[in-house]
Amino acid sequence: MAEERNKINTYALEVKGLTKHFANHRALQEVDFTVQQGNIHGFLGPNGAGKTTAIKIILGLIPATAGKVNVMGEPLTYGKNLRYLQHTNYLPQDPVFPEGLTGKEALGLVADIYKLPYKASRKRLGKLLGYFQLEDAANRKVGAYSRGMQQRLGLAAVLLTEPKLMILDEPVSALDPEGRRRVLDIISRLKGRATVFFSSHILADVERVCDHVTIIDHGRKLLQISTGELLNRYAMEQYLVSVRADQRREAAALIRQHKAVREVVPHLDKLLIISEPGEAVAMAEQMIPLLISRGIVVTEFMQNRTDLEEAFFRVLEENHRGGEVE
Amino acid sequence: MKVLILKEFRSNWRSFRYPAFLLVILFFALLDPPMIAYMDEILGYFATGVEIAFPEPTPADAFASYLSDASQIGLMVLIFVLMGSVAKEKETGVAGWMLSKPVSRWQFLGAKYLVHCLVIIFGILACSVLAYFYTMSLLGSIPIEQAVLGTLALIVFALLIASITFFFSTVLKSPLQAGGAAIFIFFVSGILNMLIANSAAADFYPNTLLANMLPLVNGTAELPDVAGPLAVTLALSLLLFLLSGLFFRKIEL
Repeated sequence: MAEERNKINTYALEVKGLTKHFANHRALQEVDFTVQQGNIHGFLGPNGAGKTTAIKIILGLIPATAGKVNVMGEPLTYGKNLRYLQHTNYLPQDPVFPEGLTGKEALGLVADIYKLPYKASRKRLGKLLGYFQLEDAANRKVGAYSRGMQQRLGLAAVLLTEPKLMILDEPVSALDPEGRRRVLDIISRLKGRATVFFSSHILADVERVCDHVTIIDHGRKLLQISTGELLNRYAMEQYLVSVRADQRREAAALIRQHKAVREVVPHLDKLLIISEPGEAVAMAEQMIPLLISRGIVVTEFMQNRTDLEEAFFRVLEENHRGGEVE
Repeated sequence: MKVLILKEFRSNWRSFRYPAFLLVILFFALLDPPMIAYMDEILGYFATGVEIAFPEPTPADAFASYLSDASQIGLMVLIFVLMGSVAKEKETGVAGWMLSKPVSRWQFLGAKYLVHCLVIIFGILACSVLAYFYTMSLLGSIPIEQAVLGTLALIVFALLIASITFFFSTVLKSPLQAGGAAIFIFFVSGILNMLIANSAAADFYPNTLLANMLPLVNGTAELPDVAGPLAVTLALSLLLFLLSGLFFRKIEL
């Protein structure tokens, strides 16, 4: 029992069988995932996949049709006061602030809601305004801010309270490259100190900071996996082969016949070989001897490392084909 | 709670909602006493050669005129001011942002309602004090308890209108829907008042407060005459707030 409790407590977020039906569509269908404390966890999915709906349920803003959610060991009960909100902070996709407040006042409001000590919070607030380059706009009404400035202010509001769990919905979508770099740096540095649950469709950013990802599509979880494993499993199954130009057609036909090969496509002056899932090693080992045995001159054979974006689309594609993702 | 109350006041003050309501009430507090006092002279400028006989203006007429105008135009403005109170924050996502923090739904609504009530009470009270002394300087004094009773009737009825608007703002999706529904109730309640004016139901009907404002100010009616509608109106206001809270607990943000 104690072991079970300890196990649960290592999760900042535990979602089981989460289902949400709206009047005319099913937003989530039996979604399960866990987020370990101290991890930076990417929550990926195309637009309309159900990411924001899941986040709103976790925050107690909308009720689930079915399923269970535990946040830092505390079960979510819709309509009840949620103690875990004291240790959680949320950045919505389009940050909004109460009308008429200045940037400084909006941060002050957040500090006071979380009952942060006045002096310390105001000092920290000033530093965050500086870090996010909002010092000059601190006394201007937030309504006059650009979307990027509002997003930076929203991030400052989240960081101000030093929460144990940060739920960030597309946190860098409105930022310029410099702003993105700064924010991603901060998020990277939080690893081990706070849990960040980070929804995004900018996969390069996710790849850069997240150690785990959960992928959902059409309201269903497709995969929960470490970023490294996702890349290994889905992104390293591609190889580039260079053969003599006059042998390229013959080589392509030969490679295509191999049972571990899913697809062969011309790529510049090379051939790009995509293996079946899990067959990459076998294919790599057998391919060169096979080609050489048929008299084909191989001048180059290398792994073609793809990024998370490609891996992500592969996962979605396999799901659409009806293949087993996990 | 104090934090939320301050936020609510600041937000509504800066967006000119509260000032708009208070300025309208202030306008009538400053306009009606001289209008009543100098009605003869004013009309004399426009209608030369025509003799119009007006009864001698009384201080009670001037003060009651201010209350009456405030209860019509002032309360219409109040509906416009409060129709977005919750609905707009639901629409823009501010409500969701606030409630994703350690703020309960009752605290969120309670702070809003409390600040609206305080602004209505102290705003009308301040304007009435001004109207009272202005009337006194132009036309002479009226017994203070009569002015207080008239003002009390206006404040309590304004609280009901605010509660109706707040309720619709909580349960309906947009500020326009909330405002439309509140204006509809405001007019229907007025029509209903004419229909039941001579029945026993009038003894408990909220609009009886408005009908009794002049009698309260000129002393022909007293507190016991409006005790029924006062109690019913206050109870209805509280009930509407509680209903708003119960609905809001289940609203998806």
